[in-house]
Amino acid sequence: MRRTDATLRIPELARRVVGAVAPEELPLFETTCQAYFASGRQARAGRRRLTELEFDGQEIVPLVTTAALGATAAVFEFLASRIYETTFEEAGGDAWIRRLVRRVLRFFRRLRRRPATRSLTLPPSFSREQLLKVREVAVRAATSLDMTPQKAELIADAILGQLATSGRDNAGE
Amino acid sequence: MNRAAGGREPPRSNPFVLGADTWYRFGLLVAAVVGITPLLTAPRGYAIVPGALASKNDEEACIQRLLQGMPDVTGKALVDRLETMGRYVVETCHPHVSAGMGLYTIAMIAAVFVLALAIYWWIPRRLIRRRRLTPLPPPSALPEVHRQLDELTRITGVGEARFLFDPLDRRVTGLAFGRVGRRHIVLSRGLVHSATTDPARFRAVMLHELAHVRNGDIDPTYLTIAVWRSWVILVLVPAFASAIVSQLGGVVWRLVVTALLVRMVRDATLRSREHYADARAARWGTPEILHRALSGRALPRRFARRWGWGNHPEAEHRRAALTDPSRVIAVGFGDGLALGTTTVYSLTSLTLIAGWLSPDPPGEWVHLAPFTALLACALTFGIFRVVLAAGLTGRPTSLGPLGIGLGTGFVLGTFVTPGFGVRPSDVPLSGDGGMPSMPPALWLVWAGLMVAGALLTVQWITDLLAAWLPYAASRRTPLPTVLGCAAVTAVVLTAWLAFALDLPSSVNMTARMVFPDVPQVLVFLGVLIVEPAYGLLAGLTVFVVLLWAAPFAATARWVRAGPPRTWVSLTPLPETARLAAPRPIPARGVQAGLIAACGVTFGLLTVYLLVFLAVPPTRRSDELATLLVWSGMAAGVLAQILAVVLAVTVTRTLRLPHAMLAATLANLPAGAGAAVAMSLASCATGPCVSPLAITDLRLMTFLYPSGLVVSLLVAMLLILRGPQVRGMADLRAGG
Repeated sequence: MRRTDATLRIPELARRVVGAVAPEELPLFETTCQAYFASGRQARAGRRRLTELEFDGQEIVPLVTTAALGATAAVFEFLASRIYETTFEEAGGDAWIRRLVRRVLRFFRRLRRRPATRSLTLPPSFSREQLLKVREVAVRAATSLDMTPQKAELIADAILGQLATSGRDNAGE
Repeated sequence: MNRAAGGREPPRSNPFVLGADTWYRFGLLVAAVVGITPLLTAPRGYAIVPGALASKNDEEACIQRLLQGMPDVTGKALVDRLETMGRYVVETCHPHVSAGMGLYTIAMIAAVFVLALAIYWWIPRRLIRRRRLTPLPPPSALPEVHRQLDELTRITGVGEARFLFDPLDRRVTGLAFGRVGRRHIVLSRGLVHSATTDPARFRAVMLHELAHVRNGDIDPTYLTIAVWRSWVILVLVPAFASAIVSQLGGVVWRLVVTALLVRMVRDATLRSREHYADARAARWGTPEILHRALSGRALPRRFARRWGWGNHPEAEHRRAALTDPSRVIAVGFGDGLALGTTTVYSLTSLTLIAGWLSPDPPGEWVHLAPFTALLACALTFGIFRVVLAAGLTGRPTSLGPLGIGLGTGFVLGTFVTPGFGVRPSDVPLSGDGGMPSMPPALWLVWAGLMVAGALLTVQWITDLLAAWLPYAASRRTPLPTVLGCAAVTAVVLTAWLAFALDLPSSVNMTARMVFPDVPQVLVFLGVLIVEPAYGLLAGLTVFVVLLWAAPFAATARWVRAGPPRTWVSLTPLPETARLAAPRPIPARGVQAGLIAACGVTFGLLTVYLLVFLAVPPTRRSDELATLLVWSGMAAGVLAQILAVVLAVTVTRTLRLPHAMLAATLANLPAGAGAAVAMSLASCATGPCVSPLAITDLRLMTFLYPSGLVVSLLVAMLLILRGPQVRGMADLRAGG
């Protein structure tokens, strides 16, 4: 995949989102980000299984950093799947083959290590429907990470803003 | 915190007296694993060690032959029966000895602990790698967190811990872990966040984690986990697999019970450390902030946790323990059950290994001694804390569940261990292989006696420690006093357990081999009362004397109790405070004993006089002489029973020591009465012999311990049936 300045990288996008929504969390962003991409899905959700030896703390603190990382990663996955799908549709093919290829690609995407280093070339522009869909994905991911609906929308809007900016930059080039 | 009138805080018992409980509980787990491993690994050993199975089969076949070809002793005299059976059993079978099996078992135990050490060493590294823990970011990134941590480490004096950071864990939680010399405390991302948003909560959690380091419970905790995992891998899973493959249904449920027991001990260790860490943290900070930190969203209530099991205590239990520290030191049914079962398992295993290694192993009490010493330490240390708390707060002790659990553990262990069938001598005990076991009703009676005995033992230990409490509280440390009480308790436990645990086997063997023509109930009663007279005279005498001498020694002149020391209470006591204890008053026991003895002797002599006046000399016969001798002997036993009844009736505290003192004293004049009776009997058949010339020691030594056993049983029934005396209600720290 060709790499340009307009490619999407999850950590960079998430950092910008955190800077916009909760700048006080920026000092710990790098540490959190490294652990996030090195860990499994359950750990990313911030809900470790209680070991027998921990303090009895079951209250979850909602943090913008993990929500932003989660929402950005979800948007990344969504866009990647749409791009692959679009490419395949343009090449023609039956519906069942499309579904099969989509699943195989999803499987391999999950297998790939170091998602932090993965990048995605953004389309020059997003349609209104696409942006709405992206926003919905981001809100859903942020809410699942214990964000309040207001904060989740704020994160989603920040992501959309960054995407729109990147798209414009890409078109300008 | 509630304050007493006058603005002074009420006394709060110090749970750290004699150290935190976690190491003792870990010791119990080790004892359980050591005790259980030989029983579970032996079947594999027989398959591996050359010649072991053949040797075992030989002895089993020999026992089968012996049982089938028993000589008929019906109608013979008692001495003939005993001689015949003794010669028959001893001369027929050679014991099954296999040094290879002994070494294999010892090697398996060693393997469990070597693997456990490896796991203990490996756990911290795995935790750091798996959870992606990083060093805590520098003060430039987290200034508030570092400021608070500096303050807390200064307050607590814990400087050796290294702080780690779990950036993805959004819960407000912490974790102390590590190995010797490398302690780590993990701060979750949520906890770091709370340092600025909720500093009190941050402080509470960190104090709790630092308390783990200060209490020194990290090593026993992780060793506990390591020993459990190692035991499951090397012992439990192979034993289950072997039992399932061999379709041994009777073994599977015993394995389940055994696994639950070890798991229970493990969980108790892990729960206990949390309570002690809370108590330590509460001493450093105010308990209110911990209380609030524990008031958040509680852990899901699992089945095990709801019933007081599980490896993590309920938040509400922890809050209650913060309010009332005596909950931290509570010992209950589960503790007793684990202690009792572990003792029996360990005894069985040690006997097994000794039998494999030596053709002539030492007696059962030698095998029992190490475990009763451990059991005595566990009981006295735990009960001392409870007695101290009762002395400070004036509340009654409630150690009944501990006694019931202990007795139940003895019974459970006895039922579970022989089922593994690893030693040939289990055959007669378990009722397999041609020899029917005791009837269920007698098993129930025996189980009831075991529970009652354990209950009475716990009550006696409580009385003993309560009597010595003022003295112990005035010393710099209570350890020597408590260890002294533990030593006495160990002797008492060894004496009665050596006899009681072997009772079903003795009864069954005696009933089937020596008295096949006598109802088994009578054999049971006979063995219960008479066997101590044959085998345990010295032991029984020491046992009975210790029962009253140990608590009453607290009133001796050289025992001078001063004001209690500061370690007694978490809150300062008034300078004039004294810890009161139920005063042991031996005079009451002495009075009861003498009154009973004199009463019985006087009554007996009166009856003799009337008999001699009523029966003319020409009609006096041998039958009359025999009647006189036996009535004189029975009077000794009767005097002891009467003394016990009197002593138990007139005393409110220390009733067992009073009863045993009275019984001992009552026997002495009763012995004189018996000598007079024999003197009179000689007059009935010929020339009179002086009572001083009559020294039938054999008969005396037979009746003396039998009378003591009956007295003990009567005392047990009276004390356990009587109203519950608020033994500790009188204890109060007075100002």
